[in-house]
Amino acid sequence: MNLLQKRAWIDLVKTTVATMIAGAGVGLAVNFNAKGIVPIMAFVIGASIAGLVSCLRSIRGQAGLDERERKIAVKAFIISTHIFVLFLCFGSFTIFFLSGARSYIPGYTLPVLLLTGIFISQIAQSAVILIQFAREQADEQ
Amino acid sequence: MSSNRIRNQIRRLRFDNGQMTQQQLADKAGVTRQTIIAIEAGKYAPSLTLAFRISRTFGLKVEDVFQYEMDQPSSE
Repeated sequence: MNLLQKRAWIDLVKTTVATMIAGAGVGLAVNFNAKGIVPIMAFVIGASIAGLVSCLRSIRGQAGLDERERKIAVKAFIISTHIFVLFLCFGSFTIFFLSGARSYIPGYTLPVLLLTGIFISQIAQSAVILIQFAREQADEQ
Repeated sequence: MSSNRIRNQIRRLRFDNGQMTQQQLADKAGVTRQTIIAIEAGKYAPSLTLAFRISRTFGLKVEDVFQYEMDQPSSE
């Protein structure tokens, strides 16, 4: 198993755990009906730190890959981004049409939609990488 | 519509250069063994930089290691 394959598995596990933690956070916020400037600031600070760490890790992570692995990683990222956008589109409009154009939906719907989209896109990204290498190994044999 | 292909002599050159393994060539070129496998099989076209590095490993010019051929356009 090469570096990119290992990272694909590790990223899948990390995203699953992170999604579960974020989901638990949303659950707590719903339970305590969190609202106001304090939860917003807490979320902005937490999400900014997580986003910065993720961005730096992605940039540093490219350094250990050779040119072909980098192309595969970029291809996987492009596909996962498209899947994320498609999921948000379909999810949003499904809720829109199911609940009715003039109805109200619970506030937690949006964070749940976002977290689910992130989780699905990470699965797609890891799957593209792992399937690509599995096909190559099958061709070798 | 015409299609372009890049052929290479890497496998033959490896054997001609002291039975060099794919891993040894990969280490010298700074890539993974899987990349060398993909290049030999014609499934991956290396960048110009990598093509030069591989050619220099064998002490040859790029065009001696990689050949570019264009298929004849199909009749319309």
